[in-house]
Amino acid sequence: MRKIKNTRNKIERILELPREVTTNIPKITIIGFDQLMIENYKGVIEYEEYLIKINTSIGIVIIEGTKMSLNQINENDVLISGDISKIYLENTEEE
Amino acid sequence: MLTKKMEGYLKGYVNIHIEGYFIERFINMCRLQNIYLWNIQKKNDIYLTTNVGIKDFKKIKRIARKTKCKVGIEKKKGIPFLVNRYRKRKIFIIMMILIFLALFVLSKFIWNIEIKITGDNLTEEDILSSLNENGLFIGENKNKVDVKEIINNIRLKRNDIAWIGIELKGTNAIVSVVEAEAKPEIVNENDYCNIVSNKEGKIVKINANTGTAMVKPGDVVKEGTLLIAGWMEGKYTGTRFVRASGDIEAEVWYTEKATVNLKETKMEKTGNEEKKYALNINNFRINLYKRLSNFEKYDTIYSTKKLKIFSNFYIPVELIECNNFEIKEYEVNYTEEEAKEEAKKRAEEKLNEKITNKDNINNISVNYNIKDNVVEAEVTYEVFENIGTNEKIVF
Repeated sequence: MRKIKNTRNKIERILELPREVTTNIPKITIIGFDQLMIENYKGVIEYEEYLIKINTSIGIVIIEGTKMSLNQINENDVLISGDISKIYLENTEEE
Repeated sequence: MLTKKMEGYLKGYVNIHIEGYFIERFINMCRLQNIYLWNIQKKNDIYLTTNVGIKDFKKIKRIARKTKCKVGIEKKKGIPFLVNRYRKRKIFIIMMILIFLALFVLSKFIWNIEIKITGDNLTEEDILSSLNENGLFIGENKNKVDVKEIINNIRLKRNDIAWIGIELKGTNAIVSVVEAEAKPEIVNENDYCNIVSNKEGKIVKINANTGTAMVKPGDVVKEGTLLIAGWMEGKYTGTRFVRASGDIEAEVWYTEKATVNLKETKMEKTGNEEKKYALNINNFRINLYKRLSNFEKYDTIYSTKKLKIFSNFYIPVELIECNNFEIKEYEVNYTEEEAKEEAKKRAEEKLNEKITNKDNINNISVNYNIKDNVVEAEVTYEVFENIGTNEKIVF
C-alpha cells in the first residue's frame, strides 16, 4: 500500500502536477482576514456564526470568528466570509 | 461575481429560510445532491437563510423532509417571477404589445417633411407640391420612396432648382433645396446692342459714347423706348453696327396715394393674452378647451407643432396652439390739417419702401383731395436715375 503511494508521489513530483488536483487533499486559500476558500472539502460538520468546522479528507478545519457566513457552497468548494480570527487544523489521518 | 448575479437574476432564485436541528446535515445533503447554495447566513441556532435557484428548490423540499427541517420562502427574485406576476394582467400586456406594434408600424411612414431652402424666390409650398407630385408626401410608406428617382424627376421638371437633396431620418424627411440663380440675359461684349429704357421718365441728360442717340433731353420716354441705337451712319461708310454705350439720366416719377378718414377706429393690443391648445389628428380636430375666449374682441394666432417622440421620430399628431390677444378699439378724430399730415406720412412710407436711393430725390410734390370726410394725399417723388439696359440687336 505504502509502495503504491510512494510511486504515485514520485510521478506527481516529476510531472509537477498540483497535488490538490490529483488527490483529494484540500486547498485552503485566505484572502485578507475576511474570506476563506476551501477546495476539495467533504462536508460541513458544524456551522454557527462564530464557529465553522469543515471536514476534509485528511482532517478537520476549524474556523473561529464573528458574523461568519457560508457565502457559496458547491460540490467541491466552500467560501466563508466574515471576520475570521483563528484557524485550527486537526489531523485525523492515521500515519 | 457580477455575471453570477446576473445569471441568478435571469434564471430566478428564491431566498428561503430553514428551521431545524440538523442544519449541517441539510447542507451536506445539498452538497451530495449537487445543489448550489449561496449567501448562507445563520440567524440563530436553528434558523438559517440561504439563496437557491428555482430548479433546485424542489429538491430542497425533499431534503428538508428527510432532515426534518422546515422550509419557507422569504423572497422571490428574478425575471421568471416578474413575468408570472404580469401573467394575469392580460389587457396590460396586450396594450404593451399594441403600443410597440403601433410604434413599429408608425415608424415605417413619413410623418414630417422639413424643407430647407437657400435662395429667396422659392417657397416651401411650391417645393412641397412638386414633392407631392413625385411621390413624397406625408403618410407615404418609407419603402416606396425612391429618393434618387424623386430627385431626378424634380430636377428634370424644374429649372429653378440647382440642387436638391432628400434625407430620410426616422419618420422625418429632410429636403434641402438650393435655388438656381435666374440666368441674366448675357449680352456678349462683342455683340451689337441697343440701349433701351427700362422705366418711364423724362430724359434729363443723354450722352452717347458709341452709337446714335435717338432721344433729346426733355423727351418723355416709355418703357422699351430706344434710347441709344447700336448703329452709326457715316457719309462714306454707310450704316455700321456697334455696341452702344453711354450715360442716360432721366427724371423718374414715383407716385403713391394714401387716404385718411377724419374719424378712424384704431385697434390696439391691450397686452392680455391667453393660450389654448388643440390636437389635430389627420384633419380631425380635438379641442382641449371649453370656451372660446374670455375676451370680447381678440386676435388669434395659430401655430402648429408636430409631436415627436425622439429627435426624428414624428408621429402623425399635431398640437395647435392658439394665442388670443385681447384687442381694444378706440376712435381717433382728426382735424383737416392733421389728416393731411397723416395721409402724407402714410404715402411717404409707401414710397420709401420703393425707392432705394434717396439722395437722388429731386422734387417732392403733394396733392390733397378732400371728399366727404376722407382726405387723400398723392405724393410724387421726382428721382434722377440712370435708365437704360442693353438689348441685343437681332437681325
